[in-house]
Amino acid sequence: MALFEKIFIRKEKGGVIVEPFKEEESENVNNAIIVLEEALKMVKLPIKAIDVWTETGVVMFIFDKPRIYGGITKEKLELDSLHESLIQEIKSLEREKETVEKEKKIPKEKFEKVKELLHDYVGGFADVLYENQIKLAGINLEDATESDFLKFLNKLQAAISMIIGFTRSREVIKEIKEQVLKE
Amino acid sequence: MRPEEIIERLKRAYGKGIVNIVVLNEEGETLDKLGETNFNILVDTVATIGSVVGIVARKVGAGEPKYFRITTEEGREIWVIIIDGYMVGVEGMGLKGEALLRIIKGEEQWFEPTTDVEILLDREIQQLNFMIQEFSEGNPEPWVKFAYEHLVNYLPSLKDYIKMEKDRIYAIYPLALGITQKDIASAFRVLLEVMWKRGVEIYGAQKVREKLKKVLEKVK
Repeated sequence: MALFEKIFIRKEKGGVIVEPFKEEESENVNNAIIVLEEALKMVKLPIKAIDVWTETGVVMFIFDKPRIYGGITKEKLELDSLHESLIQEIKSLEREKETVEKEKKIPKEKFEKVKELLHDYVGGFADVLYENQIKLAGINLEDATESDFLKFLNKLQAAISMIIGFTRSREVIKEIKEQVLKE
Repeated sequence: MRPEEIIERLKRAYGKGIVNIVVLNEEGETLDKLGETNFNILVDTVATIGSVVGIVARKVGAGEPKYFRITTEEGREIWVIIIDGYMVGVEGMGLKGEALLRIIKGEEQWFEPTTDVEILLDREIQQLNFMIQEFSEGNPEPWVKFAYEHLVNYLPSLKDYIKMEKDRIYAIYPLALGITQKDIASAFRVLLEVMWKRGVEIYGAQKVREKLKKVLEKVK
């Protein structure tokens, strides 16, 4: 089990990431941080961290201006290494989020364009083939990534190869892909 | 409990290990203090953060606070214990909240470790007791005395905290602030070597190796 049952990050431009995310909790954490920040404005000492022990565990805040890191753990012992563990967990969470965020999004229109082009090669089969492959690939057109798009094209190639043959299907998909992605 | 009692208990437990103590009421007014440095900043810090800590802890779903620690960029550590309508701010090196809370409540000693150093000591003692059990073959008393004498001889600062019973050694807490993890680790390293040598004298190397293997299995 992870050491921290909840971690949160107050970003540079405001807003809070809470992991695991729950909308209501996220709002509460954001409010808690605002209260704490207001209090800190009145304190003359430069504060680096505040750790609060409760009956159930520890809630910790690390101030790394303008960011604030936080976590809640059930570990009640006053281990010197808790801050280090929290920073490590947050870094690994940020790396994960960065990977997801960095992946290029493919707008719905690009998928529509594939359907349109598909008509030139397979005629009346185009719509059915398109809908089936979107469904089989489990793609949400409102939030599709580049890897979703490539997965969809692979499935589409397999499907149209039954109609126009394997070699031709490869050429067709290559042409469609180039045409759609260059726009 | 009166504010001066709180200060007296902390002073008795930690002596010069404590730099500053401030006792505030829930409104953040100073009731008593001890120490040398600039009190106004310390009082403001404890009162201001103390006034919001409860709200913050509850909002993030962590429940009611017992105590909290403020760490500054210069490395100062201020512990604030919330008890009986007081906020007790304590500043010093190597202090820990659970121990401060227990001392303020009037407990003078206890048996469960609450700090990194104490956790290490507890683990080492557990391993030592397994060793005593294994080596003594039903007659632990001489082994307990042997281990105790070597341990306090090597690290005299542990003497007040290590106790003996017929078949085991145990510790009482809180440990003095100056005892470090390094002290504990090296004292037990030496002790285990001495125990090993004594075991070899009595049982021979082969049998001692078998006994240690059993100890290691228990420690796992």
